[in-house]
Amino acid sequence: MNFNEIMQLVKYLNKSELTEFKLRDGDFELQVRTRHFVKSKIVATPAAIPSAAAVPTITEPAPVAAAPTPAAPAPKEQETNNYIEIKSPMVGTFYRSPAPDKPPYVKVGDQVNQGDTVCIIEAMKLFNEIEAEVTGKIVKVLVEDASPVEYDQVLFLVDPS
Amino acid sequence: MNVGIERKVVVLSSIDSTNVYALEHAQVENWPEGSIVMADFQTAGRGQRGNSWYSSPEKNLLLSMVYYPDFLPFEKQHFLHYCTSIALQKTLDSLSIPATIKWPNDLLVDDKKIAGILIQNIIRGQSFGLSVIGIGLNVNETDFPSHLPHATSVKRLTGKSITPGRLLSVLLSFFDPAYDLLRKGDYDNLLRQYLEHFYGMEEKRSFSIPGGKSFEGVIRGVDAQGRLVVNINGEVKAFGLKEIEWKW
Repeated sequence: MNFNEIMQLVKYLNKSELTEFKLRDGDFELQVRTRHFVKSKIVATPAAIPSAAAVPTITEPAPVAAAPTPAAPAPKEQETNNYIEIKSPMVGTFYRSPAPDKPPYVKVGDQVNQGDTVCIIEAMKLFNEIEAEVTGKIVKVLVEDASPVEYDQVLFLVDPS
Repeated sequence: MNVGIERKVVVLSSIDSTNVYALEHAQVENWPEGSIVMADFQTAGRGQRGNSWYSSPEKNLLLSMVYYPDFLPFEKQHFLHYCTSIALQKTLDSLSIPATIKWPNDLLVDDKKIAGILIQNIIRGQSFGLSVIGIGLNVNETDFPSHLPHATSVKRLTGKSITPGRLLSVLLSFFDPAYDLLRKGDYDNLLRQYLEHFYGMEEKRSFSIPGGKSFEGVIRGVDAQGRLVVNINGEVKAFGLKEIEWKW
């Protein structure tokens, strides 16, 4: 398959209800997962689609990930890759609790559900409560309380299993 | 857009914070945009992280407004401050009180604070799910505790008492058009209004670097990111919130 053929296929799949498409022809293998795939099922995140699985969004569906993988079969699931990242949507200051004298929103081992507040990012004196978009268990908090964060910086790792 | 007809108004006789109430109820109960929570008596009105807003019962205008600015890019979120500051400045102006907006979001009269803003948003994915705009305006307060030496009120400045609730409609009449400009993306207009009564504009003021040295500079306004722009001995620099402190 050439590039144009792959793009045509991706366009077609994007319009369809298919969640996943695999094609194997000799030593050529093509695997495409659509945004429906991300919403319905969260799996180990092979390197090809980290952005799709890591940052599922409501307003901007994850882009279709075309992942032509030459020869090798899909990588085996690894435990450490099973985690979903919660990233900072903006530049600001990271706060783990609603107020200095209050307990943190979440800590390692806590179960979070979609819609739960996990932290505050303060930007220019606006206090932004960040909602989890995934359900799972917090396995790691990667940023110290009250420290500056960059856009897209990973804040938490969540085990969805 | 006229939200005045549809907005829900909740008056609380006693509550920790109107912001907290709005954050907890607005989304679950599908409050319409522009809804308001007012408190006659605020026991723990929140200033920014730990600085509680001082208020005696029924003396001040304490409210939270509920909006859903899902159209607003994150990098423009400081314009929520601009809309609110502009509305407060105009409200005070209507009472012949010449207030200025001190960067980023305090209202000052003669170097004394008369109103403060606390905005709390809920972020859902890549947009604002909810914005709760908390406002504290000192109306009839005349006795401020000793730890608030830089505070003043409408009554202190005019000598007249006024029912805080009466100022609400005035405030909204100025906020709504500002929010409409935000919705339309007319940032230039809002920026112009924000800087029209900007505290210390083109004047020399004293600052310090947090935990560092003091310096003087001439205030030149704000940049696109909302940072304070200061001319220090001919060198123009922009400062983020954590990079500069005002010296009274």
